[in-house]
Order: sequence, then C-alpha cells, then structure tokens
Amino acid sequence: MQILSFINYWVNITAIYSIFALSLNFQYGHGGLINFGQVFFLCFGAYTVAITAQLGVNFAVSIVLAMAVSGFVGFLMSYTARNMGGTYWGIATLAVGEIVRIFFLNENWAAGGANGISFDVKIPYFEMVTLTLAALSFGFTRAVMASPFGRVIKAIREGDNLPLSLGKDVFSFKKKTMAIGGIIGGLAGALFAYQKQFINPEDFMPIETFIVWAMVVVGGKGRDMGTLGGAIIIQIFYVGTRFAKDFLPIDSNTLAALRMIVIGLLIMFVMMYRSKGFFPEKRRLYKVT
Amino acid sequence: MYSMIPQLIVNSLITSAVLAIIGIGLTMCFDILKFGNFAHTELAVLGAYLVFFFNVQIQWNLAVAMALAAVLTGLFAMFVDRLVFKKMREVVDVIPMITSLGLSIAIRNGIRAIWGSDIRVYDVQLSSGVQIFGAHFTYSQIWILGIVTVSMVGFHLLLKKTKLGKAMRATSDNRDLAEASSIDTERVTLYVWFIGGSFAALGGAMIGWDTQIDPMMGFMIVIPVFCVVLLGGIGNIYGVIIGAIILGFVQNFGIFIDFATLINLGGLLNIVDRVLIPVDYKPVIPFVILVIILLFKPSGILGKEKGK
Repeated sequence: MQILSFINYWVNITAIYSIFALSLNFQYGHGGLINFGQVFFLCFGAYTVAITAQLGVNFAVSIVLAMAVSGFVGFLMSYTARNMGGTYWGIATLAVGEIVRIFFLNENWAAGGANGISFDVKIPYFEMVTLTLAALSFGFTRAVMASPFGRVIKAIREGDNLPLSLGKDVFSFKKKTMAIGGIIGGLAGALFAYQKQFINPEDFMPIETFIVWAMVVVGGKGRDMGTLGGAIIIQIFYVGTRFAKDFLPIDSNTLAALRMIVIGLLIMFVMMYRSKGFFPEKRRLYKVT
Repeated sequence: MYSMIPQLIVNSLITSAVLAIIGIGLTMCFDILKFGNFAHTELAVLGAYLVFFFNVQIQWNLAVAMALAAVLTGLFAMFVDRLVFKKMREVVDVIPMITSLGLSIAIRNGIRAIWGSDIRVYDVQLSSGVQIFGAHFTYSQIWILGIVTVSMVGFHLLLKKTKLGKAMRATSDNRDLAEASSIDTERVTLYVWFIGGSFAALGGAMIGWDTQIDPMMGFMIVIPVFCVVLLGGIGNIYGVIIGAIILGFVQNFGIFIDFATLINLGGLLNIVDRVLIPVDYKPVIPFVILVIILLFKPSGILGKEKGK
C-alpha cells in the first residue's frame, strides 16, 4: 500500500514538474528568454489556488484563475525585458523571484505569511488529472511551436535583427512568450498546491528554479520531448534518493546536500560537454524551391 | 533617531567593506570573461569555512587562518577556471552563466555536506571595543575596515604600477588587442581568478569575524554583490567601491528613514503619519535597487559606455 501511494506521489510530482519544465522550455528553449525567476510562476499559481480554494471556489475555476494570474504576471514581467540584455535580465528575474517570496513571507494578511496556507480539497483521480494536463500542456506547446508564431519566436531566440528586418514586432512577441510561459507555469503551480494541500514561502526558494533549469538543460533546450525526459530523469533521481538514507549510514541533511551536489555537477557537465542536452533539438530544414 | 546615526554609519561601512572586497573579483571576472559568475559568492563562503577550519577546528591563530584561507580559495578559483571555464571562452555568455549556477549549487552543498548546516562562529575573544563619535566599534570591525582599505589600495597600486596590472587593464579593455600585443591573456585570467578568489575569501571571513557563518549565506549575498557590481559599472573596480558604499548606506539607513515628509511634500500635504520600510524588507532593498539599475542604467553609474 505504501509503495502504491509512493508511486502516486511520484507520478504527480513528475507530471507537475514536467508542466513547469515545459513552461521554462517555452521561454528559454524556444523563446531564448533567460528566466532565473521561473519559480514566481509556481508561486503565483499555487497561492491563487490556495486562496481561492479556501474560499470554496471549485477545482476547474481555481486552476483557470491561477493560470490567468500567472500569465498576467509573466506579461508584466516581460516589460522589464524591453531594455535589458539577455543575461542582465536573468539576474533581474532572480531578484524579482526573491522579492515575490519575501513578500509572501512577511505579509500575513496575504496568505498566512511564514505559516503558509492550507486547505482541504481532495481531487478524485488526481494522478489522472495531472497526467492529462501534462499531456495537454505538451500538445499545446507543440501546437504553438508548429504555428507561424512559434517560428517567429524561434527566430527571435537567434537574435533580434532578422525578425526585425522582416517587420516583426520583437517586443510584442517576447511579451506573448512570457505570458504563455506564465500560463503554463501557473498551471504547474495550481497543481502543485492541490498536490500538497499546504503551501508556504519555503516551497518557492530559488532552488526550485534551478532544479527546473536542470531539467531543461539536461533534457535539451528547445525540444519539448527532451524537456519531459529531463523532468523524468531528475525526478527519479530526486525522489529516489530519499530512500537512500534507509540503507546508507548518512543523516538526512548530508543526503540532501549530496543530492544537490549531484544536480549541480550534472548541470555543469551537461553545459561543458553536451550543451545541447541529452535529447538535442532537431533542426528543421525548409526546402527552398 | 538622530543619536543612532553614528552607529548606522558604522554598520553601513562594515556592510560596504565586505560587499566591496567580494565584488572586486566578480566585476573583474565579469569584465574579462564576459559572464556573470553566480558561484563567486560561494568562494566567499568557502573562504569563510576554511577560516573556520583553521581557526576553530585546528585552533590556529585567526590571522594565519585568514591568510591561508585566502591563498587556498584563490588556488581553488584558478583550479575551477582551468577545469571548467577555460573550455567556454568562445561560447555565448549564457552557457558559462548556467554552468556557474550549477557550480554554485555544488560548492554550497559541498560545504553543507562537510561542515553541516548549523550556524558557526569563529574563535575570537569578545571585547568591549571602542567608542568613536558616539558609535561603537568592536576591534574586529576596525580590523575589517583596515584590511579592506589596505587590500583596495594594494590592488589599485597593482593595477597602476605593475606590469601585471597593465596587462590586466589591457585584457579587460580588449582581449584580442592585448593578445596581439603578445600579452598572455590566459595567464592574466588566472591571476584575476586568484585575486578575485582570495579577496572573496577575505570578505567571507570578515562576515564570520563580525557575525556568523552558515552554508546558505552565499546565496544571501549573491544579489547584493551583483547589485554593487552593476551599480558601479562592470569592470570598474572604483565603481565597485562606490556601489558598495551606496548600497551599504541605503540598506542600513533605508529602514530608518521616515518617508512621510517626502510623501507629504515636505509639509504641504498631510496624507500620512509615518512611512517606514519594515525591517523584514531590509534584504529586499538591494534586490529592488538591482532591478531599477538594470531597467534604467545597466551600464552603472561609472560604467564605461560600451557602444552598441
């Protein structure tokens, strides 16, 4: 029975992080936006759900609300990208992510402050729901990337000049990229809250951003299938090593540290030797006739 | 309120000194290698823990411990450059930046695995310190200000008076041109890592000397240090000093200033009574400043104008 509930947990968390990784891959892998504050989407999505679910709003509506809030946050965030170069923007987003977390930590009226916020809503067949939504997110990003819009944001990733010369409004495309990424990230946050039934600011430490970055770079940026692969690999490792303390003579603090060392080294090695990831993006060639 | 000003100045100076000495390595590395090294503050934490090892665990004198920690951290920084970042001189800046993110996670958790997550303090005698102009200095704070001043002056002399300093300035101005003038830029880069690493280690040790250390402190200071570097303009070591002073003072004074006068337009209106930034938001101040600089003046206050 225990093993069954554990598998349930693993399926849920992997599906949720896959959605979260898809949202980062959409922004960074496809759109070239280096967002080191990705966790704020998770944060806004989760808090929207926690607050609305407490008020008795039903599951579907609260999820849609979470996606809307998060998408709007992404849209607002994109305004800072207008006059910032890629890496500068990365540093700024890291700062914004922390500002958001410290806000929720200190404002008790907003959502319980450091004590967090809990609600008791059980969703039947929750793993079916998360898997379906993960599949839908995957299909959605694939569909977007197959559209003309997808081709333009890919072109923008390679530099602003070419799309500008074709008369594309680069900034407006970046805004949409951030908003769509935010909507997907908000969905991940919403499911994260329903999975845990309790959230507090500790859940939204910058380390969550780095783990999801590890998923995207290990899997292969710019390829949704690769991102899913990365999410599954990292989650197997992350959740699986929790059991290592049962048969290894180390305490849980050291174990947590060792686990993060492996994640850090993995990011480094992938960047050093396989900077395209384990499932690199396929180049699509268009026939010129 | 006014009686607190001297003490606030002292606190601001200490914050500034630590940020400046850590920021110097980051700004040089950012300038010469063209990427923001997120692992830089982890070098400070490593230095702080090496001092803890020498000073507390094997009971050596604090001065010896700090000198050894600075050298070892400098060597470690050189080693990391050889092993990791040397391969990435020619690629776009995103790749080394993400690599440094991975490196920072690895170092931080390495420290956590070796020394544990507990808060640590050095073996320093508590003393009453001295009163200067109504402000209280501990002896360690006087030493900190002294060491930072000496290091800064020393580094200034190195840059301006020695051949190595000239080579560093040339490499930072234009790497290709420096290479064409037969400057061994790879060797210069190694020196930059060494100096940056040792300075960071000293900065980390100063945090431990003044207060306490824990493995997560590297992340706590990474944004403030980036903020200082960007305020001053990347590659400008005098800018780092000015940026550190600005940030140190704003952070310490910010939570004591009553913004009511400002909002009431100096007495014209009477909208609010007292508007203070809550103490809990003190750590947010550098974050907000950072975002504002990046939005409006990414080249910093003293930044060299790098043409488009």
